[in-house]
Amino acid sequence: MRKIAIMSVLLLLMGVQVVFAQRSVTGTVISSADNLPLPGVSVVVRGTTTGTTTGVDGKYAIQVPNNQAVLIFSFVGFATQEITVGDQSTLNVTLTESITQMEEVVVTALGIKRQTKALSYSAAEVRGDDVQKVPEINLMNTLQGKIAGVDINIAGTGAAGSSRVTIRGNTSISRDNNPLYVVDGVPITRASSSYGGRDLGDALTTINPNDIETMSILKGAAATALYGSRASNGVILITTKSGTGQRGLGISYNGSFGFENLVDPYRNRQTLYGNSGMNGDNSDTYPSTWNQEVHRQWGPKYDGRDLGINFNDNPDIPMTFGFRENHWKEFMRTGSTITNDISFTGGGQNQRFRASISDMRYVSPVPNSTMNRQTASISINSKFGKKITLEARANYSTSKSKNRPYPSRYIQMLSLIPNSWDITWLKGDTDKWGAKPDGWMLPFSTNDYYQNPYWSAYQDSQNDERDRITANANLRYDITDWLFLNGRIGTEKGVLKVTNIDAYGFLRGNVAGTGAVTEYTTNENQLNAEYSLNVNKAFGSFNIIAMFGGSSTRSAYNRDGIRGDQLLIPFYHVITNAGQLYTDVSNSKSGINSLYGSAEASYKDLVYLTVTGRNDWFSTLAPENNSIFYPSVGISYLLHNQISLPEWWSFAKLRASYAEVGGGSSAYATKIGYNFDATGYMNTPLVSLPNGIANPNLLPYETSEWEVGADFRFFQNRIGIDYAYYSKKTTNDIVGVTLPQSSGYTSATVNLGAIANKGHELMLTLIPVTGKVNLEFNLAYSYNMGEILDLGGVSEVSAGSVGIGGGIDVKQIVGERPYAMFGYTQKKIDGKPVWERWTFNYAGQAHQSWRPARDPQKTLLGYGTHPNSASLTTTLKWKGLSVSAVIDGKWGATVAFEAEQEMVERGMATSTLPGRDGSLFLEGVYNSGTSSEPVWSDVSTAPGYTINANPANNLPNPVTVAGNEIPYHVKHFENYYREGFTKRVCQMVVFDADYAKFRQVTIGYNIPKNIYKNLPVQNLNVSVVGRNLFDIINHLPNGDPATGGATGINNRALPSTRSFTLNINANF
Amino acid sequence: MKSNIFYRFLLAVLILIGGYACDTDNLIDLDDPKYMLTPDNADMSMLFTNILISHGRGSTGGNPARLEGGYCKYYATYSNLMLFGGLYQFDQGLNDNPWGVYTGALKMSIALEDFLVKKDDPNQVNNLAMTRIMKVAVIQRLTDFYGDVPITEAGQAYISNNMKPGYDRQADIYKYMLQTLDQALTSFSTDATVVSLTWKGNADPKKARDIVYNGNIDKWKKYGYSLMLRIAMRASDADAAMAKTYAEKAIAGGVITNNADNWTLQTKDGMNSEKSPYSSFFEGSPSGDPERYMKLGEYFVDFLKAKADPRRKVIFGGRLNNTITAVTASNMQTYWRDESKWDWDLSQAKGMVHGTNANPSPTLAAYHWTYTSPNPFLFTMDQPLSILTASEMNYLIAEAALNSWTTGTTATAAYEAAITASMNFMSSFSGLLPTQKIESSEITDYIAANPLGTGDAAKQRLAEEMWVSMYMNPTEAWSNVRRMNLNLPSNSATAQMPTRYAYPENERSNNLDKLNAAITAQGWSTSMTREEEISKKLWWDKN
Repeated sequence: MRKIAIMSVLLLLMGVQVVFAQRSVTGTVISSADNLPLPGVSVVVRGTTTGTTTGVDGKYAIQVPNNQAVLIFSFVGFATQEITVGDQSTLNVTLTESITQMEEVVVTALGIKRQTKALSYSAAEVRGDDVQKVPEINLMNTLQGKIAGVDINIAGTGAAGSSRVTIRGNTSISRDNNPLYVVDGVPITRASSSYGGRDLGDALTTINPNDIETMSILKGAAATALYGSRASNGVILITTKSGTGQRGLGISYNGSFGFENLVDPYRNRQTLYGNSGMNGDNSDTYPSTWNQEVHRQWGPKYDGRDLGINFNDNPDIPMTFGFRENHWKEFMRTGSTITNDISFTGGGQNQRFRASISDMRYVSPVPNSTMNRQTASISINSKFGKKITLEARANYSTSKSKNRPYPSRYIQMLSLIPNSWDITWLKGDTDKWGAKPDGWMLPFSTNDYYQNPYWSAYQDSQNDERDRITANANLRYDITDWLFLNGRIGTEKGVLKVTNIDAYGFLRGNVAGTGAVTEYTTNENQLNAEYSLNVNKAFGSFNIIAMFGGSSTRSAYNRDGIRGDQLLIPFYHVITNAGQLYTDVSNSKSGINSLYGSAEASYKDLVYLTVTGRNDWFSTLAPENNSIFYPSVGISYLLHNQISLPEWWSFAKLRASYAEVGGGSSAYATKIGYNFDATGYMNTPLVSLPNGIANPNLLPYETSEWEVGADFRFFQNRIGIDYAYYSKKTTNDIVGVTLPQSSGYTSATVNLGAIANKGHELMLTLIPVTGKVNLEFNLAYSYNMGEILDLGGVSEVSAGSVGIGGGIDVKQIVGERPYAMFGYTQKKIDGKPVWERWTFNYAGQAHQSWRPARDPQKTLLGYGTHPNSASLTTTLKWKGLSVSAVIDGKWGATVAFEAEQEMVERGMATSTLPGRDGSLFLEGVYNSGTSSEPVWSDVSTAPGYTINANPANNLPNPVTVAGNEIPYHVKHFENYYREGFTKRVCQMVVFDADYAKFRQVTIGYNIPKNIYKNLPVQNLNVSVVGRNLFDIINHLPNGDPATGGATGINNRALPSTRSFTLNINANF
Repeated sequence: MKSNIFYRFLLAVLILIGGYACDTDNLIDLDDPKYMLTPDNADMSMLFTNILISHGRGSTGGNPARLEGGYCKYYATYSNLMLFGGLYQFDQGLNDNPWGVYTGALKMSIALEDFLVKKDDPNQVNNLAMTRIMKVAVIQRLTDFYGDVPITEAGQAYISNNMKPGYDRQADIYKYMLQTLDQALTSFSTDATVVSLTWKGNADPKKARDIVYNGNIDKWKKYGYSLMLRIAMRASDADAAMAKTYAEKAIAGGVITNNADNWTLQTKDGMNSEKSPYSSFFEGSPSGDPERYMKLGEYFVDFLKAKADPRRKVIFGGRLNNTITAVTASNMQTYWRDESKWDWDLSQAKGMVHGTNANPSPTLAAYHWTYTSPNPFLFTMDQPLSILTASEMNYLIAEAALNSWTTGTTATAAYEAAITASMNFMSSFSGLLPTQKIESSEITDYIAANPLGTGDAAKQRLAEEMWVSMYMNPTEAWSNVRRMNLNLPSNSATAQMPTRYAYPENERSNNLDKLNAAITAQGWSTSMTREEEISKKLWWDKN
C-alpha cells in the first residue's frame, strides 16, 4: 500500500512523462444532449488492449499504431461509436444518449464486464451522477423507487441510519434479507448495528457518493450465481471512479449545501381539550398542580384561563390553559448537510490516477445530534509494458456522530406533554438542559419513569466513531491477446467505537438514578483473495468468453465492551467512576473457500448462452457437509437479428435463465453456548443454559430461481419496454421452531422452511420529444407476491407483535403472504357493531362504561409488505437546463402504527373528539339476553347507552349488577377510547399503508462557458434538489407510511423530513 | 525486466491463493469460538448455584402470594392484582408461571445430572447426590401444582433430541421421587477425596457455590430425608403402604428438626432479582396504583386473634394512621417501612374481607386505615425465604406418629416441638422491631392453651397449625390444605378453592398430542374449560 501511495505522490508532483513511440491522437468527447464534455468515456484501439478514458474536461489522448486504427468510444448510457482514425490527429466525438444501447457494457458478478445484449437476466445500472446530487447520507436511500424489483425502506431512525433493501421480495423467512454489497470486486460487511435504541448505521453510510462511477443491481439468481452462498438476496456492485487518461491534472469540485425540516407528522392533533386535574375523573376539573396527570388530554376545553399554578412552581412561568404550538416543531430544528468534495485526476496513457477527499457535515433536525464524515480515496491504473495492468484502490472513511436519534423515546415523551405547555419550559432554568438546579432531571410528570425530552437529547448521550478502510489491488497479466490471468486481493477493516451515557440524575434509568456508562469497540475485518484465468476467443461465427477461478474470504468480528453503573461521583460520566463494572466481549471468525467458472458462448450476434458454476466450502458448517455447489444457465436471443421486423421495431431481445444460490450461515450457529453471569446472585457467579438449541446440522438455505424477460425498442429507441417475470423458491430456509417448555428448551433452529416469490418487473421508457428539447418519461413498476410454503412442520411462526389495539401479532403462516397481521376487531351482528358493558374500578369505586365487544379470535387485518411499487421519473432537458421530477408509491400493505396509539390513548388525536362536548351516542347492538342465549337489541334502548362527558348533562340511571348499584362513570369517554379502543380493538391504530409521494424534483443548469471564460474553470453546473416534497396519498392520520420498516409494525419511527439542496459542480 | 518481476509476483500470488482455497483445515480452525462458554469449559458448580437460587426463589416471582396466598386466605385485596387468588378466578399468566421450571431449575438439574453421569467420576458422587436431591425438590413442587407432568422425557431436547415429551402419571412420579432420593441419600460418601471435591460454600462470595449448606453433607442428608418425609406424607392418603415405608425410612435417616438446618435462601436489598420476591410485591412500585397493597385476610386475622397466637406480633402489620389522607403510590413507598405511619394495636387488627372486587371502604385512604397490612418488617429484603423448615418436619412426624408409624417420638412431643420451631423461626428474623419478638413464655402459654388432642381432632389441630406455621411458604401450605382438608371457608359464593393448576398455554400450543393423552389418561375431557380443569383433584388429594 505504501508503495502505491508514494508512487501516486510522485505522479502528482511530476506529471507524467511517457515516451510516445507511436502516433498520437487527441480530442474531446461531448454529449449530444447538452454539448458538454463527457468525462470517463472509454477510448480503446480496436483489436488491442490499448485504451484510455477521457478526463473531466472530456479530453483524451491515445497512441495509435497507424491510420487504419479504429477507436471505440464507449460510455455507460451512450451509444458506442467506432471511428477509423485516418490521418486525423484531432478526433472530436459526439456521443448520443441511449436508453439502453445494446453495445453498452455493464459490470456483472465478480466485476466481469459484459455486453448488456448478452445478459440472460434483468440487470440495472445506476450512474454515479444519479446518487451524487441527492443529499442522503445512506447511499441506498437515493435509489428509492427507481429500480423495478428493488424495495428500499427508510428506516425511520434518522438520516444516518441503516439501509433496508429487499430485492424481489423476502427470500428468507427469518433472516436478514439485505443484498450483498460488493465494492470494486470486494464484498463488504454491511452489518448494521444499534445500541440502546439508537441506530448506528452501516457501512453504506461511510461511502462518499462522489467516488461512485456506477452501481450495478443484480436482482435474480442467474445474475448473482457467481457469488454462490451469499447471493440469495441479490447483489449490489459498486464501482468507484478511477483515473482518466487526460494529460496534466484535472480537478473537480463538488459542493452541496442542504437544509432539512421536519414534516409535521401530527396533521390530526386535536386542539380543543387539555389535561384534567385527575386521572379519568371529572372533565371539568382543571389541573391544580403543575405536573398533575399531564399525559392525559381528557380534561376541559381550552379557554386560555390562568390556572393559578406555575410550571415547576417557578413564579416566572405561570400556566394558562390554552393550546400552544405543537411540540415537535419546537423541539426539532432545521437540519443541514454541507458537503465539499474535491478530486484530482491525471496521468497519461499508461499511468493514471485519481484522488479525492471529501468532508460532510450533517446537523440533524433532532437537537444536539450531528455527524461529520471525511473520506479520502486514491485509485491507480498502471500498465507495465504491454501485458501487465495494475489497478489499485484505497478508500478511507472516518465519521464522528454525536447523539444519533432515539426515535422511540422522543415519540413517546413528546406525546406525553400537554399541548397547553410550551415545551421549552422543560429546558429548565439552568445552563444544563432538562435539569433542575441540583443537576437532576427536571421531571414533567409525577410519574418519574417519564424522561424529559431535553434530558434525552442533551444529558443522555451516545457518541460513536466509525473508521473504515478498504483497499484492493488487481493485477492482470495478458498472456496472449485472448487469454489473461487476473489476481485480486481486497481487504476491509471497520472499527466502530461507541460511548453511551445514561446520565446520572434520572431516577428510573437504573439503580437509584446513579447513571451508567458503556463503552465498546467492534472490529470487523475481511480479507478476500481471488484469481481467475480468462479466455475471449472467436471460432468462426462462434465466440467464447470463459473464466475459471477461485477465491478465499476470511471474516473476523471482535467486540470489546465494558459497562459501568452506580457512578460514585455524581454527574461524572466516565467509566472509571463506576461502582460496578460488567464486561461484554465476543468474537467470531469465519471463512469461505470457493472455486468457480463461467462460460459465455455466442453465435453471430444472435444467441448468447451462459453457464456458470461455483462451489463453496464453509468454515461455519460441519466438515462432513460443508461443500455446496451453485449452478446457473441462461440464454439471450436477439430476435431482430434473425427475422426482419417492421422498421419501427428497432430492437427485440428475449431472455431466459435459471440458477441456484444460497444464503445465511452464521458463525457458531452449530455450537451450544452456556450463559455466564459474573455478577450473579448476591455476587455469586452463575451459569445457566440457553433456551435455544444449537443445530450441528445447519446448512445455508438454498434459493432457485428462473426468470424470463423481453426487451423491445421501438422508433429508434424512443419507446422502450423491458419486462421480466421471475419465480423463485427458497428451500431449507433456516426457521426458528418453537418447542414446548417441557422439552427444556423453547426454540430450535432448523433447515425446514420454504418460501416462494413470484413477480413482474416493468421498465418503460418514452421519449416523445427529442432534439433541442428532450423530454423523457421513465416508469418503473414491480409486483412481488410472496408465499410461505413450509415452516418445518408448524403452521406459523411469529414475526413480531406489538401491544397496541389489544395486541397485534405479525406472523409467517404457511399458505399466506409473509408478514400476515392479526388483531382484534369489533364484533358485528348483521353488519352492526356490538357493544358490551364493562365494570372498572376507579378510586375504590366500581363504575360502568361501554366498550366494543370483540371477536374472540384475532382476525387477519392485512399484510406488512407492499406487493406493488412504482415510480415515474419525468426529465426535461433544454440547452443547459434539465428538470426532473420523481413520483413514487407503494400499495397493498397494512400498517399497525404505534405512535397513533399514544395519540389516542392520551386523547391527543382528533379521532378522540366525538363525545367530548356532550354525550357520545353509540350505534349498534348489545346483548340484552344472556351469554348462552344472546338477544341482540339496539344499543340505544339500553339503560345508560350514552357515554357521558359532562356531568351537567343528564346522567343515566345507575345500573344494578349482581345486587350492587353501580353508577355510570361521569367521564366514560376516556375509558371508552383508551380502554376500549386502544386496549381491546385495533381499528383506531391499524391503517392502509398505501402511499404515493412527490419524492424529488431536480433542477440543474450548466452555466454557459462565456459567463466565466476568463476563469480557469472548464465547466460549471448548479442544481437544486428537493426531496420528500409532499404526500399525494397517505392514509395515516399522524405519520408517514414510507418510513419505519416493512413488516407491518411501525414502532415509533422518527417523523420524515423534507430537504432542499444546492449542488455546485466545477471542473478545472 | 520490469514485467519479469511482476510476472513472478503474479505467479506467487496465484499459487498462494490457489493453495489457500484448498486448505480446509484452515477453515475448520476458524470455527473455534474464543469467548463462548461451552459444556467443556463451564464450571458446573456455578450451574448448581443457579439451581439453588431458582428453586429458592420459586421461579414464580412472588406469585405464591397472589394465588396460593389468596387460596389459603392469608391475603385479600379488592385490586385486580390478587383477585384471582381471592376470587378463585383463573388467570392464564399466573397459572402458566410454575411451568417455567422446565426451562429453569428442572432443565438445569437434568443437564447437570446428565453431565455428571456422563463424566462418570466416582469422586463426584456427593455432587451428583446433591444435584439429584435438588431435582426431586423441583419435581415435587411442579407435580403438586399440575399432577401428571412430563418427567422421564422432560428436558431432553438437547440430550436425546426428544422435542415433544410424554407425560408421567403422578403416582409414578411419586415413586420415582422417593426412589431417587433413597438412592441419592445412600450414595453420599465421606471419603476424604470426595469430600474435598464436594461443592462448598466459600467465604468469598465470588466463589460461593453451595450457598445454602456450605457443602455440609450432613445437612444435605437431612434435607434429602426431609423431602422424602414431605413426599411420603403427601402420598399417605393415596398409597399408605408406600408412604409408611418411606416416612419411617426418612425419620430413621434423620430429618430437619432444628431451625439451624432449615433450607432457606438468603435475599438482599439490591437488585430486583435479589430482593425477597414477597417484599418487592407487597411494597408496590412508586408509579403503581396505591390501591394495590394487599391486606391480611379477614379469616386469617380473626383465627389468630381468637387463638391469641403470639405470631400475631410477627405476622400482623399495622393499619395506616387515619390522619394520613395523601395516599399515592410514591407516598406509600415511603410510608411502607415508616413505623410511625402505622397503628400497631394488635387488638384493633382487622383483616380484609375476601372475595370482593370493590373497595369495602368508601375511599382509598379509608381502605388503608381500616385493614391490617402484612408486616413489612417480616418482608424486609434481607430475610431468608423459607423453603423447608423444622416446624413442617415436626408436624409431619407428629402426623406419622398419629398414624402409629414408627417415629421414635410421640405425636405430642413432635407437635410441641413444631410450634416452638415455628415461633422461634419467625421471631428470629433480623428485620423485626423489638416489640415484635416472641418470648419463650408466650410459646409455652400458647402450647398449653392449644393441646394437640387425639383422633380426628388432633389431625384437625395439626392441619390448622401447619396452615398458620407455613404462612411464609404459601405453596406448600396450599398443598397441605388440600391434602388435610382443612376446612377454610370459601372466598366465593359460586366457586370452590381450586385444587390444581391448569396445564399451560405453552403445552397446548406446542405439545398438544402428548398433553391430550395425559388429560385423557386421567379420565378428564380434553374439552373441559380451564375453570373445570382447576377444580380437578390430584392423585394424592383423596379427600
